[in-house]
Amino acid sequence: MTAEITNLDQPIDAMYLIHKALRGEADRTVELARCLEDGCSLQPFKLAFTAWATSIMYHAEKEVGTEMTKSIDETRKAAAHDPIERVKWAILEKEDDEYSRLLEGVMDVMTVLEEDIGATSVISRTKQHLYGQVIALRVAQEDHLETEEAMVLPLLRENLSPQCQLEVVGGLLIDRDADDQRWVLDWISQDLTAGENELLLALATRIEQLLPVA
Amino acid sequence: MGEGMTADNNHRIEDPIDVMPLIHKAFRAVSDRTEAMSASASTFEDISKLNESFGFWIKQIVYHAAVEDEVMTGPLKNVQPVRVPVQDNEDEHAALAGKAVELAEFIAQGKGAGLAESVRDAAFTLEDEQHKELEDRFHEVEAALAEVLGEKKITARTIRHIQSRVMGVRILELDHFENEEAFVISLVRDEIDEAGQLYMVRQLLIDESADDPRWVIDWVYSELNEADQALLKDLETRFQGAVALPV
Repeated sequence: MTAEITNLDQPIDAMYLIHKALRGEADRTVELARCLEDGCSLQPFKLAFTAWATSIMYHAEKEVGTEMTKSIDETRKAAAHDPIERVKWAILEKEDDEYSRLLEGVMDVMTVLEEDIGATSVISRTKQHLYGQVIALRVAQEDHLETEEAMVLPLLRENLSPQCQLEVVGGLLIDRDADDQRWVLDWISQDLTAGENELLLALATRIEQLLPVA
Repeated sequence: MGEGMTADNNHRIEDPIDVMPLIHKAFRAVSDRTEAMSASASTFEDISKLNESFGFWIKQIVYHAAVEDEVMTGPLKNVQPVRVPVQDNEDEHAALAGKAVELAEFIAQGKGAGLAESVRDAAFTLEDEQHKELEDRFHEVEAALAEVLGEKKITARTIRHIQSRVMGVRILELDHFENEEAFVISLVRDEIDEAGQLYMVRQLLIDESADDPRWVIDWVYSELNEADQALLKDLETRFQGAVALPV
């Protein structure tokens, strides 16, 4: 169970809310895979997995190569002498690779869904394979989120101005290419407490004031 | 499956090789228990306990795979042309034993194993130049992460990785048993006579090279219900009474 997030000291802390939603998707999908029984419909699992995969892909697309890495002042990186600080920079630089690994995990689950599904006689094998792959994907996701929270977010907090953080977070929370630009907010919202939703709403208002939604 | 077998054969296993689903049933029981232990593990002390259960599971897997390769698929490979399931069976044994041993080695690395694995995995995805650079600072990365994450999270990460790996071994095991029951056992029935099957089954269940030759059969027996125990006892009487060795 993820602890309640009671304040967003800086806009980048909204990442904790996004992570909470990603963890919620993972838990729901793993639980559905665990409960699959011989002969039962795979539809609920497929829907849950699709939601999780979509959120990972969207998060990867928006986080990787965007303001999150571009906005960093390279001179600060060069000035980092503390070993931990240097490792933080190294981890920030390899965010792209981390997401590639997560996307590989998504593809592994999709491969099981495509290859093993069909013959009803192998449903128990399919169940085992799906369960194994979603467990592996959740482990990879948790490693990534945990590392990001411990190493990358503190770096962004120290090195990005609040306005720049709002732009980064705005890019993650508002999907300007979608018909429904607020779908990410709605998606995150389902896994948040009432208090956390208030924090998210207040942040969304600040983002809209800075970068008005069309 | 063992359940079906009990229902279908009330008093006797006709073909000795049909004891295999009972042996597989014992394996499923020990792997179920190990998986449940790993799922509920929250401290490294829990992992130490899990390691005992896992060590026993590995010991059984390695013995079972080696004996099957020698006395079951070995003779079947003399039947030309060699059938695909026979070769697959040996490949599956190698994969299963390999994964199980890898997991044992992973657990033996201790609390920091998960952190080391995730840092290593991440390094391997980098471009060559970055890879070298990060590889040189491999321990620096690990140490920095360990300091920032703290011991509790490091242990939790290792436990997550162990759980996922246990699941991987179990899936390989279940796939293998399913394939063997569907494709290999019928070949044994067709190609090897009763005396040969009794010899084969005896080798699988009695380890003459061990201080306690009954360590396998006693374990299988302990995992079965009364009806299946009776079937196994009857079969043991048959193979103990059989003197013929396979030609």
